[in-house]
Order: sequence, then structure tokens, then C-alpha cells
Amino acid sequence: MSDYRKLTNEDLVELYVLNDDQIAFEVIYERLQPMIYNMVLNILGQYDLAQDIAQESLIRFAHRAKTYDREKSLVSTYLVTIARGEACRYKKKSQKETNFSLLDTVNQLIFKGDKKVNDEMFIKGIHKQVKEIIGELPLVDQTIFNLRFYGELSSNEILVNLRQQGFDIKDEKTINNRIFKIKSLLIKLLGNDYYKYIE
Amino acid sequence: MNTEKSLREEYPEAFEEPKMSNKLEAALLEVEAEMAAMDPKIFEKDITESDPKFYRFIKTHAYVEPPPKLKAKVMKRVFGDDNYRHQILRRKVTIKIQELKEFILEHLPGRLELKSDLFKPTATMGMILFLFTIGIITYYFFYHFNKNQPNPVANNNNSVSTPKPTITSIPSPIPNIVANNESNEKANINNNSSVDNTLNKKENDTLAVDKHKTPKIPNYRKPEQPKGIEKENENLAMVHRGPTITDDQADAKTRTKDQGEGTKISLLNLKNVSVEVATELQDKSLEENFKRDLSVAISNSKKWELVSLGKAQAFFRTQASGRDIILVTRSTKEILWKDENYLEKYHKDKNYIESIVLMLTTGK
Repeated sequence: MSDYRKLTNEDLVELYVLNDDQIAFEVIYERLQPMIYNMVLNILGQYDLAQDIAQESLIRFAHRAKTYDREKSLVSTYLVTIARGEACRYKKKSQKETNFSLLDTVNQLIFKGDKKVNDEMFIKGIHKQVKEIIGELPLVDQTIFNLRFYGELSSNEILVNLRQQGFDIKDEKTINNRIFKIKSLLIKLLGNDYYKYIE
Repeated sequence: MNTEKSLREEYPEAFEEPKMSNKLEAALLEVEAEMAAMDPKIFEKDITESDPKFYRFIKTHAYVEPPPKLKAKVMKRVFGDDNYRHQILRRKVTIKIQELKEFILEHLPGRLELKSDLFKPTATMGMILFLFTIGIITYYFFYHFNKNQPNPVANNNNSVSTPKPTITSIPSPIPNIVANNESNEKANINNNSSVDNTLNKKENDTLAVDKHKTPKIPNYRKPEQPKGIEKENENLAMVHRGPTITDDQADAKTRTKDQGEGTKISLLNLKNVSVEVATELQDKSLEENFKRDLSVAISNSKKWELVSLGKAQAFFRTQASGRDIILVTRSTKEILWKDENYLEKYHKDKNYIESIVLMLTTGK
């Protein structure tokens, strides 16, 4: 296992595809799953759903790994795109259904009777506020936030990732500049809550 | 965008820009104004250096560790449940069949004006009979050709079904294969093999044609081989039968680990390799472990890139029940390096694989 940890994500995918290597896939999972899960959770705001969508994204990634081309994109870019796509699609679909389905209204009435259970399914407090602020930011800033704080990628890795997704980013300084801007914005909007928590 | 086109087409939602509220827009303008008045050096640093408190705050209050059961679920569905892995494919095939069925029912009878006849029981029976007849004819031809095909091995010794030649039978170059085929055949039967079965069969076929002067008949039982595999087999065959090997080729093919110095020049040009393990190994797990360890060692070497067989410049290939391992170029099928009794060495020396990869990549 320790040998595998020295390898890049791209090498690990090669091993998984060529040998159906379980350890290689496990290492990819451990590296990228926290980012995928938290990114999806921030889009959907619901724990159970985030688990399902994150799980589905990784399985989809595993099934299409044979067609993955390391020269075209990093594994993190590839997986983030799949997960974000799956989460956004689900959100859009559920919003549509909420608008038009009578059944959903009935479901809401049923859930009303068990508000405690309903509440526990969703993220709350500071986390909810952060999710709402980040969710309104431009796509490039959302991606930077996810990759830096959830994926723990360096500025250089984020730069490569963003460029592969088609964002026009000049250099690493621009990345750090944007992270600082996101931080300042979050502190401003969270206000006293932020200072209360860091003390 | 460089992300794969198919992915972008599949998930257009992932690239939609969100709408910003007035409150957020106003706050963003304020932040930008504040930043304009600040020294740029402050925010050019990484966040963990410039504001570690904020980094910790996000990690503590806006981050959730994925539940452990999620990993178990994913691993089970990717590796454990074969049904699931083929479920999507099965569903696709079912849909296609359904579509084809609907297409035939809707369009074909109408166009051919056979609406009343095509699906009558008599017509269906006729079609079944027709298919049955074709099946019988195919079987007859298949059987007939195989019956007439000579099998020199069977003539000599009926108890041996797959003769195995050995590399140890290369004492000196022999000018004429046909003249020596009888002794070769005996060697094939009695000695251990170091060349794979497809090679043996091909060579035996050739010998039989020469000996009995029978016309060349297609072998329907021969498994399908990709283009170029015959050339590859021919190259491998040269290891076994000395006569057609030139001096240069012979040098390349008989190099061993100790003679690694001579292979340096051609090996240095290698950028990517692949690994193929013979299916002859009886111990499947051993075969998988060896392949995995070799793959990991190649990836770790950083000198070579591990790629699929189709893309590789050269590939490692194991042969004949754990005796030989060779490195062969994919295009010219030249054997760059060879080592004997690799499984024995693999068992004895834990660093055997690392040492051969190191030797081949650096010459050390």
C-alpha cells in the first residue's frame, strides 16, 4: 500500500485499468473522496443524497476509467466534473419535480409531521451559511474553494485543474488572490458567527 | 476546454454559472475595494500561511468526513458485484433488441408488403428450418476440414496433446529445419517448454506441411490472433530453433541480467512499457501478484510509463510455467532482454522485480 501512495492519481488509474487493481482504486478513493463528498454536499445540502451521488459518481468513474485519457485531463478534474455534473443534474431534476409534482406536495405534508427527522438530513448552522455563500459564487471560485479546502490541492495543482476545465487563469498568484477574496467575503457575510467560532 | 468533450456534453449542468444575489454582489464589491487598498503581497501567499485560523475554521465547521460505510459500498459495487458491473451493458443490449424488434414490426413488413405472411407460423418454421440447414452445413465443413488436417504430434505419440519445445535445444545453428524436424518433434514431446503453445502449434503445422507435402489447409480451431502476432511468434520461435537467427539477433535474444550492459542503448530509448503475464501459470494469484508488483515497480521507476499493450513501445512477457521473462519491442518484436527462472527468483528475492526494473532503466 505504501508503494501505491507514492504514485500519482494518473498512474493509479493506469494500474486499476490494466490490472483491475483494487488497492490502486482504494488509494484514489481515499485521496479524492473527501473532496467529492463535500463538494456534492455543498451543492445538495443533504447528507443522504450527498452519499448517494458521491457513490454514484465514483462508480461511474470506475466504469469509464478505460476511456480516461491522462493527456487530456487530471484524474481530479475528471472526477470533479462527473460528480458536479451528477449533483447539478439531480438538483435540477428535483427542483423541476418540486415545481410540477403533486406527489411532492403530499410528501412535504407527510414530512411535516416528523420535522426532527427531516432536519437531521440537512446541513445546518455555519456549514449551511458557507454552502449558501459558496453556491452563489462564480463557478471558478466555487471550484477553487472545493479544490483548496476540501481537496487540499496546492495552488499549482488548482491552476492546472482550472485550465483543463477551460477557465482562463493567469498564474498561481491569481489563485491565491481569489482564495483571499473568498475568505474575506465569507468572513464579512458570516460576521459575528465567524469570530465567535474562532475564539 | 480540455476536459473530455464527451464529459462536457454529458454534463452541461456542471458548467452552468449560478446567479448571484444582490447582497452577495454588494459584499463582493466591498471586498474588492478593500483588497485594492491592501498590499498585494498579503494575499499572494497561500491561505495556510496568510490565515491558518480561517483554514482551520473551514476544516472544522464546513467540512464533513465521508462516512466509512460509503467506502465499503463503493468498493463492493466496483469490485464485488459482477452483476452490477454488467448490469448497464445488459440493459443497453436489451433496449437495442427491443428497438430492433419494434423497428422490424413497424417498418419491415410494411415496406416489403409481407405484413400478412412474414409472421405466420409457416413462415417462422421455414426461417427456423433455413437457419438449421445453414448450421448443419457449417458444422459439416468445420468437421471435414479438421478431420483432414494432419497432426504430426498425434502420429508420433498419441498421449501427448500439446508438445512443448524447449529453449535448451539450441546447441548450434542448424541450416535446414526440415532435415531436423524429426529430432525436433521428439524434443518437443520430451522436454519442458519455454515457448508458448501457440508458437508450438504454428511450428508443428509448418513442419507437417514440409514433411508430408500436403496442401495448406486453414485451421478453424486455431484461436483468433491479432495482426502481427505471427511475426511475434516467429521472433520467439527463433529463440528455440537456432537456424534462422543472425548473429545480431542471437545476441539480443540470449542476453541475460548479467549481460545488461549490451542492451543499454536500445533500452534507454524506451519511454513506455506494458506487462503481459502468461495464462499458463497454474497459480492465478501468483500470476496476478507478479503482474501487479511489476506494474507498480514500473510506475515507481519514473523512467518508464506503464501503458496498455496497444500503446506500449515494448512489453514484458512471461512464458512457460514460470521459466522465462522477456522484454519485447511491440513494433519489431525484438527481444531486448531475457531472464530465466524468474518465478524462482521472485520467490527467493523480495527485491527481484525492483532490481530488474532498476537494471533495465538505469543499467545499474
